[in-house]
Amino acid sequence: MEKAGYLVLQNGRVFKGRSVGAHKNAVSRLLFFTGMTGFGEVLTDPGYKGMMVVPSFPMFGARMMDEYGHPPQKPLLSALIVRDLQNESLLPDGPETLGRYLAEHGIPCLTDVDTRAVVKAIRTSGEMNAALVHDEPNVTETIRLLSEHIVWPEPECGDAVQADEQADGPRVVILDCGTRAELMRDLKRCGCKVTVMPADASAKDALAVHPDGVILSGGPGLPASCTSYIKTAYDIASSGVPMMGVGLGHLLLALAMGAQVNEMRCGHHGAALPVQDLRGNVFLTLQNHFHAVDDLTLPPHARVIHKNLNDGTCEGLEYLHIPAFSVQFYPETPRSYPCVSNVLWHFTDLIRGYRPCR
Amino acid sequence: MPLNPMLRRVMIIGSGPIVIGQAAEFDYAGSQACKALREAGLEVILINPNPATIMTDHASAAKIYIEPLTLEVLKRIIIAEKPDGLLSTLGGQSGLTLSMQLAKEGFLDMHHVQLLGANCETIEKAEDRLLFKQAMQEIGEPCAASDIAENLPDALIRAEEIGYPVIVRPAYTLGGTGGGICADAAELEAVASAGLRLSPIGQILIEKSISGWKEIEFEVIRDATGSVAAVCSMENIDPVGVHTGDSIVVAPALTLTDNEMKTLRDAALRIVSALKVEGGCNCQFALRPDGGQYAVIEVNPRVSRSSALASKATGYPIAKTASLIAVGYTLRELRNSMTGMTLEAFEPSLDYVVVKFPKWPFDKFIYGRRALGTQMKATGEVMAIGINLEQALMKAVRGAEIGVDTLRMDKMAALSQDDLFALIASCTDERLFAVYEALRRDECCVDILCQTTQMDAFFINKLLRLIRMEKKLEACQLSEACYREAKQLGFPDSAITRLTGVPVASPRLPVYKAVDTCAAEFDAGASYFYATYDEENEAGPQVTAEGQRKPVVIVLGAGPIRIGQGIEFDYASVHCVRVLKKLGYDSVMINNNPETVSTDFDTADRLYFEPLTAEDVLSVIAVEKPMGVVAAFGGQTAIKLTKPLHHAGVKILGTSADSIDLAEDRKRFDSAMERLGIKRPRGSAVMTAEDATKVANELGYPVLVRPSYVLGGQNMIIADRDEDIA
Repeated sequence: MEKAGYLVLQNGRVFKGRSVGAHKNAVSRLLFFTGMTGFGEVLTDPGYKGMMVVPSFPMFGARMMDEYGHPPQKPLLSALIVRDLQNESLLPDGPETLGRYLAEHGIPCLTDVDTRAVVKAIRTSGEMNAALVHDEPNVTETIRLLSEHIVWPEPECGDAVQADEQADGPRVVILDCGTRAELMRDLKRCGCKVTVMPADASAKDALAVHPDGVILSGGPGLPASCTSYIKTAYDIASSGVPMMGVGLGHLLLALAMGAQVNEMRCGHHGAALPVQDLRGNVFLTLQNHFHAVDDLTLPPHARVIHKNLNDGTCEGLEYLHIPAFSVQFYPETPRSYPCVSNVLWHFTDLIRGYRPCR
Repeated sequence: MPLNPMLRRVMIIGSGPIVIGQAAEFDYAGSQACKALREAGLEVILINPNPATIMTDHASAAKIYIEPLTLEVLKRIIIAEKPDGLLSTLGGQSGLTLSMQLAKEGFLDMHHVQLLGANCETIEKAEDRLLFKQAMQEIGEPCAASDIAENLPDALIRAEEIGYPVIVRPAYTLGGTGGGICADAAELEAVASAGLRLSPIGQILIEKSISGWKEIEFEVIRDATGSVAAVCSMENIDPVGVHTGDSIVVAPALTLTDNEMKTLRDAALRIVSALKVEGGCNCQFALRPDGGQYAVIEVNPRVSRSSALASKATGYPIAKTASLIAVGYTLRELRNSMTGMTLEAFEPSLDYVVVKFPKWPFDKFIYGRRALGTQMKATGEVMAIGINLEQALMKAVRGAEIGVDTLRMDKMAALSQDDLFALIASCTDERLFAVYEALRRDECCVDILCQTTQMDAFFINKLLRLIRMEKKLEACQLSEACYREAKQLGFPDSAITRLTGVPVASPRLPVYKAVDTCAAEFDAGASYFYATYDEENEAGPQVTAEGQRKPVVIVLGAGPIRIGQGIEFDYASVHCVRVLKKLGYDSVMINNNPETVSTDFDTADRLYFEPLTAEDVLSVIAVEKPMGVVAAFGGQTAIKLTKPLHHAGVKILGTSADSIDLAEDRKRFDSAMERLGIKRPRGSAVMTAEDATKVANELGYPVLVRPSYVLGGQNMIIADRDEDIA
């Protein structure tokens, strides 16, 4: 039976809603997502692991299939707060609805919440912790609980995937911290032979397959505490193999090179955030990050190449002394068109420039 | 790049008279353009023969020519005024066509006039059916199989090759004029010969009909440096085959998967890049219902009805941005006028749903063919904003002034099963209501309705949710939770009262949320609102802050454009707002017509995009607490509201509610004339058909029957005998 649920924010705001997912409580960091599609990915993208997500678009849950027509797989977020949860079937003729899917996977969800007011609260107070509870909350007690340290999720090291040895093209190793599956797809579309290794592989392991390029992927986690990955990033970068950082990987590479990373007051989580390539155009990007490189702390051989047009945060770096660059946003290249982000193409060009003659 | 230094005087071509397919949206676009260019320091020369427009106000441009839109006249003005640039993309189809003709003749070059907005090549590629097809082929964008024909025998051969059914689209025409779907050679003969005649270059496109696919539109903006942004996606509830102007449209598109959305968005961006559009552009796609395939339908490299809708739906001023791009600015130089802190190089994020509902003239042309096809028949439209599709659709329908406050139409309830199904099977303005009735009778399942109407199941399921709510209201004692749910789904109190049979004991007031282009991500301080039922009200605090300084006056708009109530009321209400502002009042606009200047978010101090019904207006009044309401400039739409507003204790500024009633109510008017001894044809007000016949016989036939409170002679008839009256 449906029952009431409450969202308690660290700043003391309480919102009432209707509980439709798993009937359990959740405590985690709360963020808002401004995209109007891509909800299936919000549920399953490891970048949202352990987070409580408020989509700003009110009708959540219609047409969740991915490009192959599959419904979302295992959700990784901690809880979902929505305005009007759609009661559609996840598949055109399947019986399962989003509410049931969330319940089965143990994800609590509140619907009928004034989500715009929640977004405004986050905008005003900055990203903060929040609790989803099912009984009328003791607000003071809950706030005390929320102010206590809440653990950031660890990076989600994926499984190893061997490259298709029949394939042609440069060999690229992805060190996987919890990347979106699309990175593999897009790299293959760019003509690369892709090997995936979990991010806890050592630099030695990665270099052992003689990659033409290495990508340090995006994923969840607190960048500064990923010390072993930072070391790996440093070692690979020092080896002279062309390298690209994406999302968390961008931050880890920056840390390895001596820059500092700050937690943002309000992170970027959306599907169309404007980024300016300082060498050219403006384009719109898919983003999900809580931290950003402090561009005042850059080492002398690093240069900002991408900047967020809204708040000026650093979205991409280039290193002048090594064949490496990194981007904070997701380098989406579905079917390339001339004027938009060509990050992956840029990477393959970089590889070609450095590819040893074999 | 900043302003093009070669430019000092820019000429803008307006769109001329209102015709079906070209209404107030071009006044909205043109006014924005004039304002933007003036603010950029340019001298604007305007030509537009439509005097009911705001853009032809003397303040809009340095020089205004109220002259016919012909090549001859344009040439004379260019010679006299020596403009440096001609902005081609704001005057609708005629502006675009004329600009291109001037450019092609070499006239513009000869007089050193730059063509701004869209260059000749872009216009040709987008408008010439053959060149367009070639351009799409070059960049690998799929089009429906098609071929052009320049005479009838050719058309018949091409159609035979492509295979029927085919769609005929004449080149360089507006609103699908002269086009249509043809099932066989006989139909083609009729449509093609008309099309060939109507196309200014005598060319038609014969295209494989893909009717039944989903119709998706994107409004895209691009600058000269190649930065692009897809401002808004829109989805037609009706499938391909119904003109988008006659379609119920939702924004953003709701039934697409993430991948389908990205594919079409990418395609739109690729197309505007390939066509090198500088400004706004509308891209229409057909998407096979299973998502497996799409086709480009057409591209309009200019502002349009859709761009006006997209602007109002998102808060992104497309016409303004397009004009500034045309004179040299880039997206990353222009500030988002809504947030003030971000730039125009972005894609708006919506945290609400928008529904556009067309206004058809069939109430005036009662014998008109109601069937909808590739030729637009609607004269206007309303837009509604809600936090879900149900709420927005309910608002749109009650704001369309078609005599309903829910989707339940009495006329449908009276139909037999067969008649109802016949209505569902053919696409007319009433189909939505017929589908609703069929679902209500529970005699037809969603699958069959989807197959018959080719609407997506998602939309039918939304109708089903409304019906379930209706039935719940009919069955239940109105609990707080039930009432709240009904309000969330957009039911007005009048409908709830009718369904439950008891008046709503404690009516709940809505809260107002802002439209701010960024889904509250930034503090936009937006003053553009819609009502919903939620916790936090955003309109209230602003009122208190500003209201301390100035008294508030609400101006009621005129709703959708229809025959007899056109753009002139927009002109009047915008001027009313401007004068109020000048006199130090805090002006508030309530209107639901997305094509107009009055619903531009910076016309009044605050804009409420709401239906013009008593409940919706009174709710705004409860929040705004105005000193009075101006109803005089909103046509019959606003006049009709004076009675309930007066009854609720609201002060009507200007002519009082009583005086308005005196003029509108035939009986009271008659007695006033009698009293004043003013001669007029004898007549008498009646309430029933029997009385009418009796009076008619006393007066002697022929008699004129005039209903009270109507517009432009709606339902007015001349009766020669008793039968005509009934």
